[in-house]
Amino acid sequence: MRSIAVGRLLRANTTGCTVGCRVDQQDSPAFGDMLRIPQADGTTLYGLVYEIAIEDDGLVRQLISVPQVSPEIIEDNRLNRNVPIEMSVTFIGWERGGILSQTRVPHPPLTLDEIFACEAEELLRFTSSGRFSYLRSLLRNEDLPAADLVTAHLRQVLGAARPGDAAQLMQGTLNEVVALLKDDYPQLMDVLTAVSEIL
Amino acid sequence: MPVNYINLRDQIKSMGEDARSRQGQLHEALLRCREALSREAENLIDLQRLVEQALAQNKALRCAVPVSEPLTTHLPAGLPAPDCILLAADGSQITPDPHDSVLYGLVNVGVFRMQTGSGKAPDQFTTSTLLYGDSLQTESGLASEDLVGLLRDVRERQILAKMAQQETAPVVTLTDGPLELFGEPRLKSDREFGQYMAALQDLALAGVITAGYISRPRAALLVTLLGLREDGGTGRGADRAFLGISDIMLLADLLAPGERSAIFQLQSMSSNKYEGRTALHFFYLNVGSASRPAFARVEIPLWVVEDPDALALLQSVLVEQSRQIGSVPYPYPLLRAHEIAVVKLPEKQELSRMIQAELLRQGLPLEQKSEKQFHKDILGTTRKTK
Repeated sequence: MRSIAVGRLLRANTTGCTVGCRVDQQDSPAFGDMLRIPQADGTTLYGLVYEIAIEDDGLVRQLISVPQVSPEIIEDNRLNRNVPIEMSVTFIGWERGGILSQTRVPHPPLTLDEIFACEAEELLRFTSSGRFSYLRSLLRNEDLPAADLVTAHLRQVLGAARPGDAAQLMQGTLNEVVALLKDDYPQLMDVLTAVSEIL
Repeated sequence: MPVNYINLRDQIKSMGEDARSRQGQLHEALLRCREALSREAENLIDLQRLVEQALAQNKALRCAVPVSEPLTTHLPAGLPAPDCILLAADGSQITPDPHDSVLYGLVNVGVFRMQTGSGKAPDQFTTSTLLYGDSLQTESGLASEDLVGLLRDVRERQILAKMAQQETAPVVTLTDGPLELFGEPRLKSDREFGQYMAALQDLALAGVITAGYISRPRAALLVTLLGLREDGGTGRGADRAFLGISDIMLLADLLAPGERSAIFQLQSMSSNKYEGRTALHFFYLNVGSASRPAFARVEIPLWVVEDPDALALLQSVLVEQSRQIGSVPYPYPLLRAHEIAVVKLPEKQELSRMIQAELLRQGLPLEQKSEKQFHKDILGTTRKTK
């Protein structure tokens, strides 16, 4: 399991959280990546990155008007000044005592908790632990870019899966998507159209 | 009760009328002053004598003294600036407050280090010094804001001197404000002044290009020099000969973007304390553009004046770094040093909590805030009232 944190928690509730991370950090999580947040009581919370924002401030706004900003000043603003990247994460489940749940987390993480990217093994263990019921929280939340998020997540899952398991994982996911959206034809088509990109 | 705007309305109107009527007088004074500038531009020896003569009658005389360049000198900056190590320092402070629940002071110094032309990310350092116990007491009572300010200036200079010694030349150190420790209460503190001078001497020995940057100066040092001729060389009315005119008003049309003025020596009540290579000098500099001029007074010690390459590098670095910041020119390293050094209210509150916790651990009873402070906090007022 990777031990280098990708960022720290800025704010949270039981639906999701916002994470701050530095630009220079290698392997910064991408849209759709699965993250884990270990808690002091042994619980691990899981979530997907659904938004990545670059923050600014007064000085940065001034610097953009300069025709040629020196490389040192660009590096200074990227590396030394306050939290330049904010990632929004939606929770998809949690684990305690070796038992995984694909439901809402029992309590939000605390400010400045460390956040880690999930390894392939963790990703597969989580997704195969149930019947993809966590997709419900993604597809029913109107604030999330559901079609793109499910697609990015599936791309990561398929990339981690053994070749023989990929088709089964995809079939299971699509079955759950169809079941959840059977009464919402426009959104179902929206998700299937996006997912078709990785088929 | 907020400000009584009804009371102020008439006063503001009078202020506006007064400003308009003064404009004519100022314009006339400015024309006379410009004439004096071109008339005296080459009379450097005469002017130096005039200052000596006036100083004999007025020890408090504060003015510019010409060195070797004509008064109307305006020299462009060589751009791009040569690569160098830039160390900019700024400080902030917490002055001990007798109304607070814990009595302490703090000097916080931020240093921004940049290696120009390297493409590398700059470094930033913060040094925090807690003031407590005997260090808060002086012969006249609790350490004043001026004394804590002096300690801050001394720490800035000491830290810069120490860091500069570890660098490879050319090294430029910048601070916000003058090199001259200003104000009567500060001069009473001989020990701190000695430490400040020792740090300056260290910088001189290391050949570090040292400067204090005063943004938008309102000084009338050159204007006062020209006024000496008008008051008959007594120095008593020199600062009133062209009343309302500042050096920047006088030089604004002369200094194109990137240009510096002549170098002047500083004559002040404390300037004789800066002896030998630390003797204080200054020049004016336009770090702005044609559409937005921005003037600064740059204080430098004699060892920088005596090195033409160092002087040229300093000028070009200040112009280049000021242009890095966008439409409102100001040296980027100084801005960042300020950002690093400043102690915000939540940080002060956290520090107070840490001190209180330690005192409790030591078994000491917690002091309460003064009754006045307690009620002010409840009101949430930020007004400073005596």
